[in-house]
Amino acid sequence: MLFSPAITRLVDVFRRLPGIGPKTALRLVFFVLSMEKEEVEEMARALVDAKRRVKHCARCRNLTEQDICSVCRDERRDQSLLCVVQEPRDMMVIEKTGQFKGLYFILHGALSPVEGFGPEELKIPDLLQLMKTGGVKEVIIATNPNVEGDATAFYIAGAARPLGIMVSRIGFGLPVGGDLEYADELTMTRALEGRREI
Amino acid sequence: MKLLNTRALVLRSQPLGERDRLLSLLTWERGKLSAVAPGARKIKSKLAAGVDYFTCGSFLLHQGKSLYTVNQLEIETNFSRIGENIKDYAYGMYFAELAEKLLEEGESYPDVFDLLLSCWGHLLDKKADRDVLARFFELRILSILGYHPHFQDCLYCGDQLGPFFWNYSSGGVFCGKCRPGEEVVFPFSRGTHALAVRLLSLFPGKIANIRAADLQKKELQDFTWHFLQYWTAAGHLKGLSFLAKVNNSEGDKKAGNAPE
Repeated sequence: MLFSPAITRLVDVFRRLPGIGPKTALRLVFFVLSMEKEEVEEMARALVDAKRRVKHCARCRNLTEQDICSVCRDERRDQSLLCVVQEPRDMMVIEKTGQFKGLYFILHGALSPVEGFGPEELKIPDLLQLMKTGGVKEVIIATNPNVEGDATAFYIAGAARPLGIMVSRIGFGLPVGGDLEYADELTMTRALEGRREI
Repeated sequence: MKLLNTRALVLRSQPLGERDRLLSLLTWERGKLSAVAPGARKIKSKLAAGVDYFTCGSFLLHQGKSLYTVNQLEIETNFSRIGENIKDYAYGMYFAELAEKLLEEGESYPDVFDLLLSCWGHLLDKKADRDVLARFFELRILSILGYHPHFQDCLYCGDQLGPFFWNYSSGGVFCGKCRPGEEVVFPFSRGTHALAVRLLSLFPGKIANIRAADLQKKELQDFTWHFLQYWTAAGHLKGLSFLAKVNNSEGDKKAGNAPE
């Protein structure tokens, strides 16, 4: 065996992380071994602490250490406006714009036979309950612009329609800074469909 | 440099690493193959729209050691609007999954290519009965791959009148006289028998005209699902579990159990 069992075990652990192959895992292991003992212990404690403390917000399913996350607790935010996103990272991207002042609901996935995610797994019944009892007047669906995201958006829109809530979806089209000549047919079609008066 | 310029259908498209997608493609010339679409998850990627589910496109692929890499693509037909209806989405994904599981890599299957293209097309057209379309797809893909179920007459005596039955291990139907004494058998009514025979010989363009009673659809579904499990290596089909989840969810809504 080229490396000790402890090193091999650590390589196997790092390889479980997304985007980490055997070479990267080995590089990370060598880096960890070159660190001070205190630094490594702090890193290990941070991992365990985060896993133990972080849970889903009872209202929006954001990652939080409290029962209700800081976004949902913020009384300055518009309670009648709800943005539905697939992942907590998507929420961060929208927050960075500073343009959205409502609340969120995080699905943690999209309707997908491949992943085994149906309406129950995505807690869509909880979302509908929130729409019904949470004073929501408008829902903005910000799922990914692909088939899985589309299917999820249309499913939620169909379920929300009988509640009399306005449902919209974020715009599709050309990325800012791109050249029109490089746009594919589908993106261009969606951009034309979603054109607006100026 | 080995380049392949081919028409292809996207059977599977999964995230790979931080920005790529791993595809399973059904190509016209070389059948099923795996390919990487580099950078396809980036918002400005030129490949992103063409490597999603329900896409038929013209692909320029570069052959690597174990995987192909998508160099360029042009969308020929996009069926993404299938996703606007949850049941159509479930059926479309199920068709792709079934094709992906039943086909071997490196063999050409132009008939399956045409079948899948046609069935995705019918999902956009509201006329075709979805359950009948699913049975049509199952029976035809089985037939193309050499698992042709025997519906024409009794497997053992050739009786054409029926009534017919089937069991888990039968590759078709048998009459009441030839029914194995100690085995569990399932009924295959005259209407179901007529539907099955019709679907196996039907021109795909005519599927929108076929209607069937619920009992016939249920009996044929039971047969094809058991046949798939017994005779093929399809194994667990996630698309069927998803369809069941969707049907349960729809059932809850109709029964007033959903929190609306």
